[in-house]
This record gives sequence, structure tokens and C-alpha cells, in this order.
Amino acid sequence: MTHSPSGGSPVAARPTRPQPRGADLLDSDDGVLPRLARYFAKPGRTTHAVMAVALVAGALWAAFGGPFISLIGQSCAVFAVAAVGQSILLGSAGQIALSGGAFMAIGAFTTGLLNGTALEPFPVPLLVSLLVGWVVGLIAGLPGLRFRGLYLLLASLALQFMVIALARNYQAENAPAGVIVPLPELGGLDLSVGTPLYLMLLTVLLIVYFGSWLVERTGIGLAWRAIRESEVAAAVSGVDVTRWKLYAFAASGAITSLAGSLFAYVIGRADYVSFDMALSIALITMIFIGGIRSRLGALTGAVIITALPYILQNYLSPVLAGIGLGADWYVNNQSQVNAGLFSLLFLLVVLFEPDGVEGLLLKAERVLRRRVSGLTSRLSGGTT
Amino acid sequence: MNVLAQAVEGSLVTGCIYGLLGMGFALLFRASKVLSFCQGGFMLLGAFIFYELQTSSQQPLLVSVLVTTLVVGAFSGVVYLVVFARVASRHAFATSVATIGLAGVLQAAVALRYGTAPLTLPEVSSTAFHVAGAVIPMADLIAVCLAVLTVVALVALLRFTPLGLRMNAVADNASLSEHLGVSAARVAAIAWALAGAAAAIAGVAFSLRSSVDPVGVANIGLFAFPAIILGGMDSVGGALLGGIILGTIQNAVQVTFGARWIDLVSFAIMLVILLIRPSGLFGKTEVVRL
Repeated sequence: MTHSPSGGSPVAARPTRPQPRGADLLDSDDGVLPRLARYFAKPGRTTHAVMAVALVAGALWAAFGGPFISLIGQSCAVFAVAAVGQSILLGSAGQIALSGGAFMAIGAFTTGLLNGTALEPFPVPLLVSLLVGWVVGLIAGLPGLRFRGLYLLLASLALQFMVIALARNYQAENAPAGVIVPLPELGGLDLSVGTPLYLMLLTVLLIVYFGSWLVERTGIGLAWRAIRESEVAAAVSGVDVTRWKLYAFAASGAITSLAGSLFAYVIGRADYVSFDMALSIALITMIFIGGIRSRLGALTGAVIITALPYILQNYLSPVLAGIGLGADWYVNNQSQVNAGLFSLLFLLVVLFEPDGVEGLLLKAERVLRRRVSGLTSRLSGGTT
Repeated sequence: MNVLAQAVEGSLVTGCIYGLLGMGFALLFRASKVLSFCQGGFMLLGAFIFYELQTSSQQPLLVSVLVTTLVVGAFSGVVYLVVFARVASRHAFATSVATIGLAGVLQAAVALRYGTAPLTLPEVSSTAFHVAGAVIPMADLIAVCLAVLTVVALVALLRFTPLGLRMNAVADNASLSEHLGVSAARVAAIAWALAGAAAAIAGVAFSLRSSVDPVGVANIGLFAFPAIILGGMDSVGGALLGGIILGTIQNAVQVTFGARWIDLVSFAIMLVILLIRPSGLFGKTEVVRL
């Protein structure tokens, strides 16, 4: 990646300080068009612009496109928050953990258990979930200090099963149908359904997105990326690997837990069944399918994976009827088909296209760039 | 009927099933440094193919077991060659992660074909033996015999045949054995086939004594992880012992606290072992530390 962060506190002083990102854009006195041209001259920026425009267009569509689209938008926003949380750990710090579902469960159950206490009023449970997620994330990071890779994956698997077992046991004793979550309400405004709910989710997503963007612009983000590339090299360069790795786990846990709290608000209850292994896998799939290297990729992946079942539900039935499976086949077997489909996507993306959609777009952009530069050099007489 | 003796019997049988799965994990891990998350998927496949053979085509028991083992073993090997081989040699870790996806695909396929409701095989035989106060049904005896036979066969294969020698060589030092003319890719494919076969036998053993449903059986594959971590990831014999220890602990938890604490305790044990002794009881110490 070509991020050049502007601060460098946790990292040893570097001899030369690179230009902050976008400095070329701000310093020049030219007109708008040349500036834009220069901005998009850098490889990768076109791809990111395309992804950002698509996401914003989708978000606006969900805001004004009627109740069904709004419903899809709500799920997308919740899982986008979770994906941002997971991408801090997987994309930035390079630690793969299969405990996203567990952290979402922690957030959801925290929200449910605060029901009836002094901390019940709406935005407070979100903050408490954030805090609880941070603490559990720190604890979950402890195995990550001793080892990475396979052993870390197994440790996170253990965490996932333990959290779900605890939630299941709690539920079996106290609330068989799930822990009820109160309706979100802010200053007399009902945020529990429709556009207000969607806008609330979107606001949280934007705060989380730009918050993590700001954090990763600083030396913290640089430290995480250094750890991702090589822990040994990072340690040699003066990065406190232990500390920043733990913070990556904590930050990821906090944001994923926040997403769980939002999820509970959308559904109206916290039920352990929603947060099983399949969810953890789906979250990781989002990161891989969107593009593991960027937050924008995580958002894209979250939207793709969340919206896909709805799209299939709408458009697959005629196709299925055509091949003789019956139009209701998908609806009847939805959970199995989705699980199988996501698993297959996950398998293919991890093995063959680890940079996901972003990687494909970047490849397309490179091809396009070569074509365009070939064309311009031919137009100008082949002198350049 | 003696409760303790019965609990011991139950622990042994559960342990053998975990052990069978665990041996597959260990074989794969030794051959390709890939930790397969889809052993549960192959076990599921084995259980349902066996179910199909026993119920709708009414094959004799032995034929069913053999056919199931061969089919799943071959399938596992082919899946490795077609899907994983190209990537596995370079990125063992990415392949391990990708096997999680394969497990999901297999589980969904079986769930689509057979539904998610538990299916029960007709009883193999109503004969039961009484040993030291415990009742041992025929099905349990067959399950344990299958496990023991498989372990003996695999250990003998590793110890006494040229193929076993090659597998040990690759496990010990893959690049050196490549230089000495051993095809690590072929060894890995064979290891996948053997692991698939072992998982299929575990599936058969499981379906003999309990009803099978896609989610439950696939979860057994994940529950074998505490067993292999206990035994050590690269020890074939350790996997069986780890399985039996885990089975014993689970039975003890079930008797004292109730069945719903089993998951929690099993995975807590796994986490503790990972923290204090990641190589397990019999494994080689080979953990990346800073």
C-alpha cells in the first residue's frame, strides 16, 4: 500500500518525512481539472473513487428507495460496522481470527442485559458495548501475543465457541426466546424502524469509518501495517509489537461488539443462534471478498455479502423454475443455500483472489491505464 | 448397571471417534502443514453415504463401510488435487483458512440433500455384551473396532511401508525430501485421501450409535480440535490418546454439571493448552514466537 501517514509516534523516527497524502492536490494553484487529473493519475485512486461512489449511491438509494431497500440498507450498515471492526484486525494488523460472531454476541447481549438498568437509554448501551468489546478484545489478544497464524486461529475458534456456549446457557436459564432489547429512542424520536433507524445506523457507520480512518492515518496505523508485513522487522524498527497488536485486538473487538449492539437493536432481541460460526465466517468473507487491504474494501464486501441473499431471493426464482427445481426452492432452503454459497465464495476468494473485488478493479484499472497511455502516446506521434 | 463403568465405556467410544478425526488432522498437518477444518465435512459425507447405503440400497455392513471409506477418501484426494494443490504448496496457512469454506460447502450440500432433521439408522444388531457392569451394545463394539483397526493400519503404514517413509520424510523436512526425489505434492494428495478415509470411518462409527444431522456431525469435526491440541498437532498416535482424554473429560462434565457445559469446558481446555503448552502432549515444539 502506498499510504504515507502523517504522524509517527509509536514508530522510530524516520530520516525523511514523506509528503502527506493529497499534498500534491492542495499545494498547487492550478484549476480544478488539472488538479483532479493529477489526483487520479496515481494508480489505485480511480478504483477507490469507483468503489466510494458506488457505496454512496447504494446508501442514498437505501435512504430514499422504499421500505424493502431500506431494510436491506439497515442490515448492510450493521454488517459494514462489523466489517470495519474485523478489517482493523485482519486487514490492518494482519491477524486472522474467527471470533467476529462471538464479539457481535457480546455486544448484543450487553445491550440486552442493560435493559431495565440505569444504563438503558439509547446511545448508552452502544458505548457500553464498545467498552466491553474493548476489554474482551484485549483478553482475546493475549493468545495472539504468543503466536500467530494457525494457533491464533484456533484460539479465536475456542473463544467463539465459549462465548456462544455461555450465551446459550444464559438464554436457556433466563430467556428461552432471546434477551429482549428495548426500542432505540433519542430525545423522543423513535429510531426503531424505517428511515430513522437507517439514518441512525448510517451515522454510527460514518463515525466508525472516519474514526478508524483517522486512527490508521497516524503512526498507530503504520505500526499495525508494519506488524502485518513482518513482526520481526517491525520489532527491529522500534515498533512495540506486543502493545500495538493488543490494541488492534481491542479496537477490533470494540467495533465488532458495537455492531452486535446495533444488530440487537435492529432485530429487537439478542439470540445466540444469530451469532454462530457461520456469522464469523461470513464476516471474514466480507473482508476477503471486498478487498483485504482497505476499509473501503471491507465496506464493499459487507454490502455484497449482506445484499446478496435479498437479490437472490428476488431474481433467482425464475431461473430455478427454468431448470426444474421449483420457484420456491431457494426460499425454502435459503439458510442452507446461503451458507453454502458464502462458504464457496470464501473458499474461492481466499485461494484464488485474496484481494477480492478491490483487487479485480485494480487489475482492470491497470489494464485501462496501459491502454490509455498507449493510445495517447500513439496520438502524440509516438514520441513519448 | 454400573454408572462408572458405563461412563468409561461411553468415553472410550466418543474418544475413538475424536481420535479417528484427529489422526486425519495430524496426517494432513504433517504432510502439508495444512490444518484442515473440513474433517468434519468429510465425516458428515461419510455418515450420510453410509446411511444411504444401509437404508435405501440395503448393502451388508462391511460393504457399506468399505464403499464409504473408499468414496470419501477418493473424493478428499481429488478435492485436494483440483482445488487446493496449486495454492497449498506455497501458502499453507491460506489453505487452512480456505478449508473452513470447504467445510461449509459440504455441510450445505448434505443439508440440502437430506434436510436438517436428525436421521437414525436401523440398529445393526440388538446384541449387547455385559462387561464389568457396563452394557456394551454391538454398535459401540463395531465403532471401537473400526477405530482401532484404522489406527493400527495407519501406524503400520507410516512405520513399515515405503510410502510411510516418504510421508515421514516430508513431515520432517519437505524441501530436503523434495531434493531427494520425494514428490511432496503426491504425498500430500495421499495424505488428504487417507485423512478423508479416516474421517469417513469416524462418520460411520458415529452414525452407528447416534442419529446424524448435518449441523451436529459437522460440529464434531470442530470439537475434535481440543483433542488434537491435547495430543499435539503432528502426532498421529497422540491424536487418538487426545481424543480419548477429551471423551473422558466430556463424559465427566456431562455427569457432574450437565450436557450444556461440555462445549465451554472442552474449548476452555483447548485455550489453556494453547497458552501453556501449544505443542500438546506429544507434538513437536514448533510455534512461531517473537
